[in-house]
Amino acid sequence: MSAKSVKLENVTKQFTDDEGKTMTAVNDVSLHIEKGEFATLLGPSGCGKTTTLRMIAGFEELSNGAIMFGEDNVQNIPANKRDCTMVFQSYALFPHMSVYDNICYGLKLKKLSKSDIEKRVTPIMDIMNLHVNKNRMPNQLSGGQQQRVALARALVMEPGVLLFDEPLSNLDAKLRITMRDEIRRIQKELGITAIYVTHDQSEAMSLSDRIVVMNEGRIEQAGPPMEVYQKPKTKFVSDFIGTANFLDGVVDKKESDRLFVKTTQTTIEVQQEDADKFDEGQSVSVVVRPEAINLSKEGTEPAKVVKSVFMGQIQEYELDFNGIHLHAVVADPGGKEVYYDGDDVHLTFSQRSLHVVPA
Amino acid sequence: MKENIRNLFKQPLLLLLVVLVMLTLIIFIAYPMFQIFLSSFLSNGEFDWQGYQRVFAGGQLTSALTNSLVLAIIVSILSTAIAYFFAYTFAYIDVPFKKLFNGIAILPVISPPFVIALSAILLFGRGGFISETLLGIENANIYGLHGLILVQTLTYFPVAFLVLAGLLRSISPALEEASDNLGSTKWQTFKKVTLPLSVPGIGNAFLLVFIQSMADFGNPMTIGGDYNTVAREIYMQAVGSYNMQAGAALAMVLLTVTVILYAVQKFWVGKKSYVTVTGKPTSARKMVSTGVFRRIMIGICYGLSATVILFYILVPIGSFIQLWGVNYSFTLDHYSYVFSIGQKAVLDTLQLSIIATPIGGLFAMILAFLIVRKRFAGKKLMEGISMLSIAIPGTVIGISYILAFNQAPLAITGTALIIIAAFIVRAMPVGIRSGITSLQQIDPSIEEAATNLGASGSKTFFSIVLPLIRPAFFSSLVYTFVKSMTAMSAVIFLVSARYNLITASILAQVESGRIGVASAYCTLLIILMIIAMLILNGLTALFTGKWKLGKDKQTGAEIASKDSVTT
Ligand SMILES: Nc1ncnc2c1ncn2[C@@H]1O[C@H](COP(=O)(O)OP(=O)(O)OP(=O)(O)O)[C@@H](O)[C@H]1O
Ligand SMILES: [Mg+2]
Repeated sequence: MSAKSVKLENVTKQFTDDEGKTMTAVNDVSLHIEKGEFATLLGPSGCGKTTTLRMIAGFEELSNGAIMFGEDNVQNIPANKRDCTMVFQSYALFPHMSVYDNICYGLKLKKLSKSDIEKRVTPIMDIMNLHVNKNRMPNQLSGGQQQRVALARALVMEPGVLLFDEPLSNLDAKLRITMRDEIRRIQKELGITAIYVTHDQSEAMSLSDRIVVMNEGRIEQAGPPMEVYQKPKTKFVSDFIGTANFLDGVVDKKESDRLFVKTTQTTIEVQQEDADKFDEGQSVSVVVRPEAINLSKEGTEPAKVVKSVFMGQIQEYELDFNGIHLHAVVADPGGKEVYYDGDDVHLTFSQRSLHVVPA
Repeated sequence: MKENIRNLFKQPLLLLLVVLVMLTLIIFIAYPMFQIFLSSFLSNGEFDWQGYQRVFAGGQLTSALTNSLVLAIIVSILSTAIAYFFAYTFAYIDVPFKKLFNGIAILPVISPPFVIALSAILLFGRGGFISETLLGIENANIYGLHGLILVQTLTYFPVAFLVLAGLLRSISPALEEASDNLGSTKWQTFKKVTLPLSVPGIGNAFLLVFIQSMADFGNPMTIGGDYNTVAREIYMQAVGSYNMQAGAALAMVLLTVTVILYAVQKFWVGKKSYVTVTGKPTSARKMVSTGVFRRIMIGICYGLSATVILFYILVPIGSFIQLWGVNYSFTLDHYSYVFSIGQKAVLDTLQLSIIATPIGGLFAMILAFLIVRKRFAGKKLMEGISMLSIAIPGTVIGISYILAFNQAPLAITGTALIIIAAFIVRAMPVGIRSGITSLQQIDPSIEEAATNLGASGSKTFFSIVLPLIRPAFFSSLVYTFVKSMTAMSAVIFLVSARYNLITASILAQVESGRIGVASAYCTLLIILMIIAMLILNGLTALFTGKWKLGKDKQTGAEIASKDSVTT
C-alpha cells in the first residue's frame, strides 16, 4: 500500500438544472492533503462537501481546476480506475451478496487468486470483528455491523486515498464514538491518506489532523482542530466551530502581536499573531468563547445574569452585558461561586482565548 | 452540458451504448412515425390534404372514427363502473377466495386478444350455445356494436380494476374512520369521502380503457361485423385498398388522440391524486364481514367472475368440438390441422418470440438504467421517444413500418428483423416502466460503490444493477414473450409468406368461419404461454435467492400486469 497525497487546485463545480440555471456547488477550492494525513471537510448542509468528495472519487466531472493524486492529474482517470475507495453514508452494501462477497468484490475484480483474496480479507475481518457474520446478507446485520462491512470493503482494497462521506451519521451516539476511534486507529496504523466528510464538529475535532471548514462552496479555513477553534479566520468559522459570542467594534490601535478593539462598552486588548493584517479603524468582531468569560462580584465590566442553569459539569449563564447578549459557561460549579437569575456580576475575559475576526 | 459530453467520451462503452440505444429508438420509433406523418401529406409524391380530407369528409373513414369514439366511450364507462364495483368490494368487504380473483385480473394481459371474442361467437353467434341452443334464436347476430361492447368490456375492465384497486387500497382508512366518527352514515362516508378521493383513479381507469378500446384491432376484426372502427379501417386502407395516404392520415389522427389522452392521463389526472403515499403502511382497514349488503356485493362479484371464466374456458372446449352449434361430437381434427398445415405459424411465432424476449427484456432494462442513472447529452430525447412509444397504437406501428421499411436504405419488410422489432417496440414500454420504478427504489450509491471498487460500467450493470432489478427484468421478459406470442395489431401488417404468425392464422380462420381451428390455435397459444411463464417464474425463484427486494414475491406475470397499467 502506498498512501498518496491529494491536491485540489482551483476546483470548481457548477450544476445546471433542468431550466438551465447554474449553481456553483464548489467554488475555487484549493487544498493540499499530505500523504497519511487525516483531513476532514466540515461545513453546514449543502456547502459542497459531498460534491468535493465525489469529484475526488471521479463521480463528478470538474467544471474547472484540477485534482492530483501524488504528482498525477486524475482528470482522465475514470472512477473505477482511481486509487481511492469510498465509504458511503448509506454504506451502499450490495444487498444480494453475503458479507464476505461484499468485502471481496473489489479484489475479485483485480483478478487476485482465491488464496490471495483470503489472505487480505482475513486480517481485515479480524480487525472489524466480522467473522461470525461472514455468510450473512447485509439486511441481516445491525447498523454497526453494516458500517464495519462498508469500512472493511473499502480498506481491503488498500487504496492510496480513503474517502468517507458521513459514514457514522446513521449510527447511535455511543456506537458513533466507538467507530470513530476505530477509524482513526486503523487509518493511523495503515498510514492511509483519509478525507472525511462530516457536519458534526466533535467528530471532526476528534478525528482530524486538519479540519477544512467549508461554506457555500468555498474553503473558509483549513488547519489543525485547535487552530480553527482558537484562531478562526472568519466570523463564520468561529460561529460554526463551537459557540461564540461576538463583541463588535473597531480597531483602535494595533501593535505587532496585539490589537486594541474599541467596542461600545469598553476597549478590549487581544493577543493576535496576525495583527498586521488588520487596519486601524477597521470594523471587527472580538470572538469570546463562552468558557473565556469569568464571573466575579467585583470588577470593571458590570453585567446582569438573565438566566442561570445548572448542568452538572458546568453552569450555563445567559448574560446581559450593556444590552449585548452573552453566553457563558463555567466549569466545576461545585467548586466556585454560583450566580442566579437577576444577580449583578462583573465580567473578565481570559485574554489568551480572545480572538479578532473581520466583521 | 459540456461536462456531460466530456463524461460520455471518457466512458467509451457508455458512449457506444447511448449511440446504439438512440439509433434503435430513432430507427424503430421516431423514423417510422415521421414516415407516417410525411405520407399522410403525400399523394404520388406531391403535397396535398387529400388524406385528411378523406378522414373528415364524412365517408367511411369518418364513420370509422366516430364509431371508435362511441365504442370507446361506452366501453370505458361500463368497464370503469364494473371495475369500481369490484375494487370497492375487494377493498372494503371480506370476500372469501380473494386471491383467486387476482388471477382474473391478470387474464386479459396474458391471453390472446380474441379469446373473448371467440367465446362470444360460440355463445351468442349464429348457432351459439346461448342464443340458439338455449334461447332458440336462429340467425342470432353477435357481430356489431353490441358484440364489441360486450367483448371489450369483459376484456378491459380488469385493467381498470388494477388501477382502482391500487387506489382504494391506498386511501387511508383513518379518513373514513374520521368521517364515521363525525356521525356520517356509511353511505354518506362513501359519497363524501371515498368517492371524491377516488375520482383521479376513476379518471385514470377511464382514460386507459378508452385508449385501449380506441386502439383495439383484434376484437373489431373478429366480431365487429359492419361496425367499422379506426384500427380496422387503417388496416383496410393500407393492406386492402392500398391507399397509404388515407391510411396514414387516419393513423395520424388515431395517434394524436392516444397521445393526447396519455398526456392528460399522465400530467393532469396523475397530478390530481390526493392520495398520499407515505411508505409506511397505515392501519389496516376494518373489512365488512357480515350483513346483507356484503352478501349482495359478493354475489355480484362471483357472478361476474364466473362469466369471465366461462368466456375463457369456452375456447378450449370449443377446440374439441366438431362443428359448434351443429355437431357437438368430440374431435381432434382442429388440432391435427394446427399441427400439420398450421404448424409453420406456430413455430415461426415461437421462434421469433423467443428471439425477441431476451433482447426486449434487456433493452428495456438498459434503457431504464440510462434514463434513471446516467447523465448524457440527448437524454431528454431518449426519454421522450421511449415515453411516446407507450402511446402508439399497434396498428399505427404496423402501417408506419410498412411505410418506413419498404424501400432503401432500410428495406427489411418481410424479414424476421422487422417482426422482432415490432414485438420489442410493442412490449418495451412496460419493461421500461418496471425498470424505472425498480431502479428508483435502489440507492444509486450502491452502483457507485461498485465503480469505486474498480468495476467497469458493464461489470457494474451485470453484477449489480441487473441482479437488483431482477424482478423487473423477469417481468419484462414475461411481458415481452406474452405480448410477442399474442401480438396482432402491429404485426398483421408485417406477416409474409416467409414468416407467418399464430394470431394472423387465427384471424384467417375466423374470417373463413372455422371457429374450431381458431379455438385450437388459441388454446395452444394459452398452453404455450402458461409453460413459458412457469419456466420464467421458476427462473425468477431460482435466481432470487436469499435476499428480498420489494415486490419480488409476486410472479413475473403479476408484476407485468400491474406494470402494464399506469398507476
Ligand atoms: N447532481 C446535482 N445536481 C444539481 N445540484 C446538485 C447536485 N448535487 C449537489 N447539488 C447541489 O450542490 C450543493 C452542494 O451539495 P453537496 O451534496 O455537496 O452538499 P453537502 O455539503 O454534502 O451537504 P450535506 O451535509 O447536506 O450532505 C447543494 O446545493 C446541492 O443542492
Ligand atoms: Mg453530503
